[in-house]
Amino acid sequence: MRVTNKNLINNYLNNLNRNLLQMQTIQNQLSSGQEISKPSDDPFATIRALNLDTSIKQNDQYMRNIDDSKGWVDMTDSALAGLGDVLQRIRDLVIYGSNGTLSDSDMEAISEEVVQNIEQVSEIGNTNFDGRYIFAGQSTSTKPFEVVDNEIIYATNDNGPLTREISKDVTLSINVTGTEILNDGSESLAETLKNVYVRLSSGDSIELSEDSIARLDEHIEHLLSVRAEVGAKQNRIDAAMLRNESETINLTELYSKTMDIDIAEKVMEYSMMETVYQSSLATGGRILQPTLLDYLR
Amino acid sequence: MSGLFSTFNVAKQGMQVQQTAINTTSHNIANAATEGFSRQRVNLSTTLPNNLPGIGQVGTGVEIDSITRTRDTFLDAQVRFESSVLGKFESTSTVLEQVEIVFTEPSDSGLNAVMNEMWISWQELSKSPESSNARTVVAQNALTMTDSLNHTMDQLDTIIDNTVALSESKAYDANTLLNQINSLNDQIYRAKLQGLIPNDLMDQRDLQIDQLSEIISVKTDMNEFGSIQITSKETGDILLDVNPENLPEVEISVIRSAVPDGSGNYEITLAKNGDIGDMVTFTSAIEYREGDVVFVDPTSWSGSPTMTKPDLLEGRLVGQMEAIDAVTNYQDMICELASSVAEAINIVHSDGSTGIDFFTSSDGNSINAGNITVNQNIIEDGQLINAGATATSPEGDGSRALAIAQLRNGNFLMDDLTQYTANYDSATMTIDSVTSGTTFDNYYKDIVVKVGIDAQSSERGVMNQGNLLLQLEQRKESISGVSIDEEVANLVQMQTAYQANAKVISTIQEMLDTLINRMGL
Repeated sequence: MRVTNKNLINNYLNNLNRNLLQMQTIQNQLSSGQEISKPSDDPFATIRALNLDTSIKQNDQYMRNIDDSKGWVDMTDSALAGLGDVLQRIRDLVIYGSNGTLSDSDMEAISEEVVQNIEQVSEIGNTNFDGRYIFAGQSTSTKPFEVVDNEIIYATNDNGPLTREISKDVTLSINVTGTEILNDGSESLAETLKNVYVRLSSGDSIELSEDSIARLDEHIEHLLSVRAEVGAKQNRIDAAMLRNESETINLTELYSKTMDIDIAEKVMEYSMMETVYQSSLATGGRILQPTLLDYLR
Repeated sequence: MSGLFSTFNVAKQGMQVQQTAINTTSHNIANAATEGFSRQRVNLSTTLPNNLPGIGQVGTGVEIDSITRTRDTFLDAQVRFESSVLGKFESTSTVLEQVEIVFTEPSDSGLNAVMNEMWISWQELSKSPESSNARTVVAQNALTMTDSLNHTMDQLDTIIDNTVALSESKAYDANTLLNQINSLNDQIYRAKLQGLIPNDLMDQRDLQIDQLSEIISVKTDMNEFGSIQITSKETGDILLDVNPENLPEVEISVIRSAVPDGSGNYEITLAKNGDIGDMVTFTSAIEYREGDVVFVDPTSWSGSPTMTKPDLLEGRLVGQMEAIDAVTNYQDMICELASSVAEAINIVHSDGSTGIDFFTSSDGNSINAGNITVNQNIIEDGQLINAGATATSPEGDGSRALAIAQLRNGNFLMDDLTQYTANYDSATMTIDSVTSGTTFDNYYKDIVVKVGIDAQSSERGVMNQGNLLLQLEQRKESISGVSIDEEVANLVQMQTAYQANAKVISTIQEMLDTLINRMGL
């Protein structure tokens, strides 16, 4: 084949250009730290990266939901524990007041303490988390409980659920409502406590020992079952949290494998390309200059 | 027996011929870098010999037969076709590269990220519906998303407009080239009539046909007078008649815009010959689209021009047309996405169209990616966002916001807006998924991957076709190109021949001197 000077130059420029193009690609990857900078670099890796990115961000959001829910449920649990303590104290007072041997002033002191405890039950019912009343159903910014004439009143009477999505399409109602705390069995907690006060005040030790203690036991029992339910929710939340964490770790690792460059490998590739580029430049200097003219005198 | 003077003539002719050959060599060297130039050769032959009875024939010297260019016309046709193909890939690839920049994926600022932010803010609202902050964030994030959608549409529109403008200028180039080829046809025809071989004119014409081929794929046929007829390779339409007296048969134009006028016709605007200084508007019953390439009968420009929409396959004009198609297709998909997201959220937000819509269109038409925006009332007053199950729901009820956030995981058909109303259940505030549907996120990713694959395949086309064309051009160069070494070697050879001929003359002069002056009378 006949070879002309332009053949050499064309070939040379084409090869040089190809080297530069590869260098540019690697440079791009090195400086961005990413394998892919536009969809056409690798359409399927791009879609994988976008999918993983979406999943990671969704998981982040579920994690935030889980964290919020966990705070809420933990707060509920400790409030219920406090409530249990108060009820236990009232029960103790009732037993103390029902043995019929106390003086009037002692009975008065006991009933006074019961009044304080009733107030405390209401205060616990008004516990808030992050500015929101946790036992108020969906009416989270209205104070749910008040005490009128020593009777606890669930003013909002809202039993709406507060639902959180803790992982894809898995929702959880995180709240315990005032009704659940107050109403159980044949007599509401509010009525039981009011009766306790009335009976203590009137020194009705028979009713106290025959009725009130049993009622209080029922309510304490019920509270325990509510706490057991809350505990179960805590477990669900903890499990969701663990699953979310391990999922995020896996997803992030996959994302990194898809998108991030192996720096050592790229640097090696780059220096190899650099060597190739430099030697092709040097060769260019040798092959392009001489013609027959250089050797004619 | 030939006389000394006869030999004198032989030598003189030899010198003249070598001089002409040196001139041609010099012409070759001078044009070594001229685009489209093919090296020329002086073809020599012996002059008619004299008969010497009883002896045989004696030579009478050398003469120039012809000066021809070295060219492989078969290779020309191959190069032209392949450069048409390359032209198509190149122009598609250039446009799609720009489209990829519009989508900026994968990144933290593309539509994927912006849409994610919107969905997430609904989740946050579902958790704290009593917070006016959460409401503002929902409205603002949704607004950011609609702005991104609007912006994406605008940018794609700009790309289409720029591509149409580029097509127009290419059409203009093609028309200019056809006219230039026509005038070269004329000059070559005249030269040939005089029995000349117009090498340089033919080179010029070949170069112009090469340039034309990049724009539109053509086939050439030469007649016995060296005049060339140009036809469209795919359709066989004659673009330039073989008779140089006839102007080009068609003018290539590009549709600037085609707007349906409501009565089944189209209001067409196009640049005459691709000349943007000369816009023509008329009504056509045939459907055309923006960027379509048309062949117009040049005699029909007054009134409604007679034109055909050729079925072209290769060349820059086709590449641009395909690119416009592709971009329009992406726009359609984005519009489907925008209108579907808007419809789904609106249906849930308005509880089956009984309350206010969350998304509206800015121009009163049905919602698409270009006009989607957030209801202005909602932007001004976040309390209008329906986060709860009913209007009278307590402030802590975020169930509707959660239902909207969960739309993200539903599978829907993107081309059917009626399903959202049909499948909406007011009691649960949910829209049933369609099994053959896709999530909004995935549909967006489908668009991105489509852009990616299209851009990648045209990029690969450019690479592969570029390499193929390079090989062909190297072969062409190998045949027609000027080799300096070869020319210099020829030069030395011709110089020696010239000197030797001169030596013959001085020898004959000495012989004549001997004959005339030394022969004492």
